[in-house]
Amino acid sequence: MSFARPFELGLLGLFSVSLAACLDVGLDEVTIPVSLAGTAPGGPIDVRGGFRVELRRADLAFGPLRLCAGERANGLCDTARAEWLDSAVVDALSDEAALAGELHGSAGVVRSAMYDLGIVSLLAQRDPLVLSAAEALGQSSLALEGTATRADSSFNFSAQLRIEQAEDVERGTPVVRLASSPDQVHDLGAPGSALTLRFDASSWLADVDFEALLASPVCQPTCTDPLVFTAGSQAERAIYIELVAGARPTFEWSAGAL
Amino acid sequence: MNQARGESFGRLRLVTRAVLSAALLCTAPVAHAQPVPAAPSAQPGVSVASPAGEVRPPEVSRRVAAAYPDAARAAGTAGRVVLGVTVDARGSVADVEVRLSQGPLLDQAAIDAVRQWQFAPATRDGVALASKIEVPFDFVAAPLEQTPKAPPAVADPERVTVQGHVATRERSAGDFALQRDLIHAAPHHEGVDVLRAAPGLYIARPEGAAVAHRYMLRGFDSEHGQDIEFKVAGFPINIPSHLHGQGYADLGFLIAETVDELRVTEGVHDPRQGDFAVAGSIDVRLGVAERGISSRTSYGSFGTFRQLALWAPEDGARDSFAAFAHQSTDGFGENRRGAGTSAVLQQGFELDDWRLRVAGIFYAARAELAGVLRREDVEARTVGYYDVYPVATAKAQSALAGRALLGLFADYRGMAGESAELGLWLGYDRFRIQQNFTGFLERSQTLANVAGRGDLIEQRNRTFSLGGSARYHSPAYEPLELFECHLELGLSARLDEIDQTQNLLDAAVRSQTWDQRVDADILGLDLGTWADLDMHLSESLQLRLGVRATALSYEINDRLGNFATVVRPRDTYIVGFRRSAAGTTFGPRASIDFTPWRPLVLHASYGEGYRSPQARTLDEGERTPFTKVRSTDLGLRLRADRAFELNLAGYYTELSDDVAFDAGEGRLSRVGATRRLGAVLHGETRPLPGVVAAASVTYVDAELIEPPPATDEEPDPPFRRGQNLPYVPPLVVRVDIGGKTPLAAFERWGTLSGRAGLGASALSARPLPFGDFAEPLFVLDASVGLRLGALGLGMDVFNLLDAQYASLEYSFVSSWDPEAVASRLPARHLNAGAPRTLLFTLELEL
Repeated sequence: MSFARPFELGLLGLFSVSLAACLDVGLDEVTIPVSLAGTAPGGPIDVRGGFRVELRRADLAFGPLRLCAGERANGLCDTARAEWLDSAVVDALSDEAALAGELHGSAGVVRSAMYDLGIVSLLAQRDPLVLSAAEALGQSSLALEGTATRADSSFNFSAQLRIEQAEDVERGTPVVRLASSPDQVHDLGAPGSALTLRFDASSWLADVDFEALLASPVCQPTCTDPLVFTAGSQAERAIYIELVAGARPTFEWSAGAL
Repeated sequence: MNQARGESFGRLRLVTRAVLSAALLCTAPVAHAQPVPAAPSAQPGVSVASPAGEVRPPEVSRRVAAAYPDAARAAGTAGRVVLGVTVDARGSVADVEVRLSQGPLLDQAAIDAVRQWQFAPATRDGVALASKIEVPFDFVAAPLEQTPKAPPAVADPERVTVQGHVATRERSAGDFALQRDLIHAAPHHEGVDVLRAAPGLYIARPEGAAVAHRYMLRGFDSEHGQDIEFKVAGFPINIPSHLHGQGYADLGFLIAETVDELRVTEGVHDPRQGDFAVAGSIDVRLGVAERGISSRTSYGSFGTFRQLALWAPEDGARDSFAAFAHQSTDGFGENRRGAGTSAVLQQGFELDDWRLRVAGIFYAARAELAGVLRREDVEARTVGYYDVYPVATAKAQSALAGRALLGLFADYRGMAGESAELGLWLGYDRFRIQQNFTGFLERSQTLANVAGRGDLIEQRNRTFSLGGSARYHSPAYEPLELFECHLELGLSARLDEIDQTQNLLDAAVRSQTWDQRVDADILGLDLGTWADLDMHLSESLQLRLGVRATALSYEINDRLGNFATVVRPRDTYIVGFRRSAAGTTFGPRASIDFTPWRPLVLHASYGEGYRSPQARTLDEGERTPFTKVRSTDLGLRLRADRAFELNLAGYYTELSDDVAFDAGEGRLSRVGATRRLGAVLHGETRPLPGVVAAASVTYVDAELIEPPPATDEEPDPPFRRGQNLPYVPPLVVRVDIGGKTPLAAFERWGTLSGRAGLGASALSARPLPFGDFAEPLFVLDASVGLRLGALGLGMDVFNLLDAQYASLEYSFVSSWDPEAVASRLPARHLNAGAPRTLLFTLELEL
């Protein structure tokens, strides 16, 4: 309100006071801290083909995040209940939560979510927007480094994944749209609400075919060091699918969970 | 002399009327000198030879017009009063007797007037002598003249016609007849401002010139007119199935100086109220009181210019005039330039016992539109309050409007209280708008995977209309001699041919079309009929029972129909869906008035009204789902003639299926059943000659009682059960004060007079979708002026306190930066209201 004059203020004050008993004026706006965390692996991860993987780096660019009132965010959640429009890099190998920013929105129940991984498809632009977190990862959504070991062999690998919305999907659509799950359901109006999203890097590698990698030319006679998961390779696609449609972070609400 | 005239319209007369006419013929307005043995048949002032010598009847030398008593007007009383007047030898009125009565009010008004008359006395052979003449006063419901001027002292001087619109008697405490002095008390920036005096009505023009105003009336966000039935000079103004809003009513053509009276009926109680009379109806009557030629030239802030030329023939009646107005402005901010021109012509004339009126209204306007701004952007100074977003789609917003209305209206008032009205009219309306509400959040429905090139919505609507109405009000009769009653039967009909399209344009590429949303033509027929029985059960008790039935039929050619429901390959069918629908609705209207004490009337009323559906949304064979409104009013009216009036009305209204503005589509969407519980307090006083003051307070609790359920597509709908209706201000306060007074008299220049006016509107915080609220607002307008003889100077100040206010606010998702991550949170948006605006006016009256 930009009224400047005392006379006007007086009149409006009188007017508003007379209404105070009649009307509940104002929206219940909420600001909720959002933190990102990984899951510290207790040891090597068992993956397909009898391999054990030890990750040394699993940095994920995360954001923006939108929380929706509906059961399914795959309806695009044109109107969100709360959102965080920034991005941050989460170290998926550390279980220590790092404050990433604040969700802004209004009080009410959220049931589903959608997010991008540092690279955002814009409605009005042909090229996606690379946010700071993805910039920090070299224009990528994920930076992964580790060692895969099986009894008879061991090799280092690395991956830089750029996870952006596919060409054939309508522009402006977030890359990950989660259907509702119990951990997502939360009343944002609950006092002291805070959200921690916890990522489990081990799940990203679940469908990577390390055996095929070992048999591929890049590992003949020995693997390049590190073995890089190239764009379009099975390993890259497997991780991509896990991040977009398979593995999902856990929503940890500090208060008010329903 | 009335007999021949009467014969030509005999079909509409009852026997009583004929008998009365014949009786009156015997007492034709010809002077009878006494003692003259035979009644002279010559015109007054003409000598008559008689055996007793040359006799000259008395001649009127000073005439005072009779005033049409408000109470009689309100009561619908009309007719001829015939007085027997004794003129003494000095030419003064010595005695008066009533020979034909129309009740005490009209009789007394005629007596009061004639007692002030002066005559040149009758003479015989040049010698003055007393005489007795008959003077008939016709209190006729021809349009308009509340306080008649004395007719010119020529030709037929003893026949005095007192013109006055006989107002339909109030049917509820929410009925208001606002007179000229009140509606012109506050300054007017545009013609529609005359409506602001209507209790509980808030008017905004958020989108800009060339787009209809937004009207809110006692708890209804009537959008562009969907809930208020507007009539101007007998023309229905609402356009059915208009693409930009059902019942779209652009009153931009109104020329304030030609508005004579407003009849505001809040609620639905009168069977004459038809389509769109949901919150109520407003009847704007045109007339010009000050005769002659006048010119008004105004210039002021933001390059605002207005030129009015008005011609009201001296010898014409109040309803005869021609007015032309042109207004242009650079606008109070970016992208607000606009210009509009109106011409309103009306000529009334008598044809036998009928008052005929030919009227024409022509209007054209174009304006650039600034659109909406996100409040957070304004507060962060990303964009100025009166600016526009620096993007092509925002800057390409504009509107074009045009309208032509032509009509012939006939009005008959009989001597026995019977009356009839006929009207025929033709209308053409065109409208085009390019508007952007949401920035870049649109997706093409026509072209796969095309989105985000801007959401400049183009709407185009053209309507050709033909309509007519007829009404017959019977003379009083007394069934079983128990009580007096009148029966009224009426009929209205209109045919509309509508052509409408809605597209999405890319402003950056010469307004290239990248999506089609609507392409349809519609033929609509609306037939309404009503009956109304008005029963005077006793001196203090009146009961009115009415009923209205309406039939609607539509033929829709939806050229994009079926496109969205493709079940077979695109190249195996032709897009389009032609369909038809028809239906009827029926609703009672009843009211009862009780007058326990003469100045006080208690009202109770109930009525069921309707709003027609948006034809394009109808399916094949659908029985035209009317939106039904049930309206109950209780209240009282305390009136001391023109000096003081107080109304208090409480009301409860239920609407079967309401609509609210959908910013995404730039049009209305269904929000389910709603109800309103409220009260209106209105006071009006004329404490001094030339001074009028009125104030109204309207409070309403309006809420959704059955919103659409959540769906997969809309899991979190913006409307919830029990929620206050969006956009509707719970409290509306309006004050109008105006005064005129002579200041000095100059022998050479005439009288110096001054005027001052003030209008104030205040709205409480308004609920918005998604639980948000808009700011309250308070706007004060004031004016002063001086007139010396034919010359006048005036200054009008609008928004005197220079309040930075939003004329409307919304809550929806938008994004205006194409290179940033789009927020999907609903945000408050506003249309800026005008800052302080000064207008200086030079008036010249010839």
